[in-house]
Amino acid sequence: IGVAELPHGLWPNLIQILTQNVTNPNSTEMMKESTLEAIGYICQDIDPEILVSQSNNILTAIVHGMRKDETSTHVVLAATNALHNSLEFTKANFDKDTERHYIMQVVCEGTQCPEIKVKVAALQCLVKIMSLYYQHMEQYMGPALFAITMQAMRSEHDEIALQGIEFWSNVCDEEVDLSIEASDAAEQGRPPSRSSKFYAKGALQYLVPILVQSLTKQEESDDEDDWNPCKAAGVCLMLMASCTEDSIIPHVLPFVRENITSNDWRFRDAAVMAFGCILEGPEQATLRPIVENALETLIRLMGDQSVIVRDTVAWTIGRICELIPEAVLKDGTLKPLLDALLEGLRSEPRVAANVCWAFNSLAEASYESVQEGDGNEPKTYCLSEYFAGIVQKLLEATERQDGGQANLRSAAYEALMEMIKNSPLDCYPIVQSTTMIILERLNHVLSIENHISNLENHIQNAPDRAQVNDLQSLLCATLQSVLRKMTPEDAPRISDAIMTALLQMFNASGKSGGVQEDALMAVGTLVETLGENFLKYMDVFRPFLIVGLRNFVEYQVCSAAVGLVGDISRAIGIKVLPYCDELMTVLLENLQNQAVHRSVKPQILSVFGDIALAISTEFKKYLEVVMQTLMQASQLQIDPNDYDLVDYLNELRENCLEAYTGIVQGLKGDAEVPNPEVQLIQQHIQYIVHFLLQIANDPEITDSLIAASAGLLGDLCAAFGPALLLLVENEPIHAMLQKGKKSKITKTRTLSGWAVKEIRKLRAPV
Amino acid sequence: KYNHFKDTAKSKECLQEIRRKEFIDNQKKNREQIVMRLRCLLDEMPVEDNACEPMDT
Repeated sequence: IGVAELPHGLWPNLIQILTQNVTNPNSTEMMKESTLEAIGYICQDIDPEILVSQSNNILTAIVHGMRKDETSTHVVLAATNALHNSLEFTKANFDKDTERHYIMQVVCEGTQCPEIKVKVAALQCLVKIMSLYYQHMEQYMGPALFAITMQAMRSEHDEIALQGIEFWSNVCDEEVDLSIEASDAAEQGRPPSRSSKFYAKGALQYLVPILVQSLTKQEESDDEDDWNPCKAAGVCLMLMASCTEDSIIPHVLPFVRENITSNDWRFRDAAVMAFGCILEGPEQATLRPIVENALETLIRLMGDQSVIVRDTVAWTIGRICELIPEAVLKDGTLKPLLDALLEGLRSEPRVAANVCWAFNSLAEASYESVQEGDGNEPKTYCLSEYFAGIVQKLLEATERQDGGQANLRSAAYEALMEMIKNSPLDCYPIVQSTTMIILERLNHVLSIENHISNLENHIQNAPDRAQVNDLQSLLCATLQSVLRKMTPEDAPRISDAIMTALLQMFNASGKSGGVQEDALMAVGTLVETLGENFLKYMDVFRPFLIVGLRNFVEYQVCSAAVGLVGDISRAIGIKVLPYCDELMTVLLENLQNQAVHRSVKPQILSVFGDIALAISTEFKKYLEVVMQTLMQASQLQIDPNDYDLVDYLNELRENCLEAYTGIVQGLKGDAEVPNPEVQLIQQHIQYIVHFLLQIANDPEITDSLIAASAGLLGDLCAAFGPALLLLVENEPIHAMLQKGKKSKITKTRTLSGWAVKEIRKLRAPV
Repeated sequence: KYNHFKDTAKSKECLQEIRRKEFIDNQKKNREQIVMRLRCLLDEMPVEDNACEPMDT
């Protein structure tokens, strides 16, 4: 009731009553405990701003409950939990030395309480205080916090050890942020507002030995949902590595060397884990020789008798492939590594899923290493001779009976997609054969779907439809990856089969939005691959496209369908005209419909531009209504402090600009002399320029908005000539284009420079 | 807070989100190519979108 009433200024004396309950010497233990719990719940659920003015009263009650001479541990625990929930709005108290000292004193005393629950709650307070008030902690770190947290990390009670580790994870996180702030400030030539005290670096020599010891305390039967000091230590070590960079290496490597060949699996696993943890943070150049030295051992350990060790080794190799790929993509190492990984694909699901992840990174790094930046596909790469084998084993992994465990099936399909996406020309025959396999699987799963539908009508325990849907989604995604690689000659040969399967999917998957969305995206890729050849499917596909556009309840389906209208317009051009009345009607209805998710609406605006580009002067019949809609959309006002809304406004503005661009260029045409229909825009020019000025005057203007605005300005100049000069020659537009010319992004610079030239041409017509 | 131990496999939702983003980014790229061609600027654009180059000073 307090949480409901306090924000409205009701029950103004509530906090005072609660404080008196706690400080009154005549209150019973039960009264004090219940009151402190009530304070804790209020602090937990209420907007912190509401209680700032009452923070003194609240702290008085809490600290009274936490003081050393309070005999009831129930009261102390309730008070400590309440303190944890109140820390956000007690900044003013932390800013005052005496008050902060007192709070820190009672919290530190709480960490020494014999009652474990109180100890844990007090440590939780320290963890949160460290995050919120890092800058005030210097005077407590040496005399108290360091010793308290070390002691906690060594505790035999997991819940205490976890808080000790969490404290240092927080310190690292905070110091990584401070280091980013410092480099940003240095780049801008100013001092940072806060500075790091480098506690993590200073504590490395004491922390690392405890953390690596914790790594040896693995649970025998590891449940991925269980959280324990061993796992927390791994995460803390990773954060330490990010924070302290090269400095951590000499502290960890001796432990790795001593234990990686230990007879005890716990120590072998801890050594590999420690090694895997420090791969991100230190310089690549420092790590590379160390990793190269370790690879032979790691490859051997992929065949370890312990599944926990194999799991950690596969994870570590995955991290190496992601972070230091050069260490593995070389003669002498690559083949034995691939052999071990392919063997690992047949191991337990948790191991195999990590291997799949390693293949993702290997595929990407190998492909990148041969790309020449000219946009052409490389002829070959270092995985070419192994490509067929890897794809074959990944396809086998996707079909494993236990593929549902450890996310293996999804990880294997994901790896397959990355392999296909990052394949050079000499692997194309495998892309072709994989396409046929995926198509076969799609048809097979559709036949299962029919079977399930029949069973669902007759028996209660039909096979799991969710699994079938997931598989359909994965197959659609894989289909997209193979289609993107397909040559223009091959695509029409298999398009009938693909389209037949996808249409069957639309017919059958009435109940699953996820599958419909994936199928629409797969059609999008087919449209892009086939180009004008997609026209032959339009009549049969049109009803499904309309169903998708009208499916605003599952807005992601609607969103995919909207994007697909743009794809189709680009692919078949003017031949989309017979479908336009219906498509434009549904798109405009969606824009006006309050029930349509807001994320779909900016996309619809861009698609108006796509349609205009496709049907050129024929767009004139939609011009007035679309211009009115764009005007409405561009007038959106938002709270500049709401970052989500700021992002949305920028997206909306960019898509409005894309729509205007498509319309101007579409009506103007691509001939040297503009079509006369472009003059239909004349009456809207004043508003369009007003919109451009609104964007130019925004102090937070984004780079992509500058690019889109510059593009539209250039288009308007080219279409309307000197008449435009009066409108566009002004300071805000000039400043925006100058800013664009200095952008780090090539596109923005090109477009801004081009717009400046187009404006200049108008000034001195030849 | 720090419970991302050996967290590698992306969730179904995360993969779907990546695919959505790729789908929309690809459309933006194709749309941009058409308008840049009409502006006769296609050749001035780098192969990689948004590629960073030294600043024009």
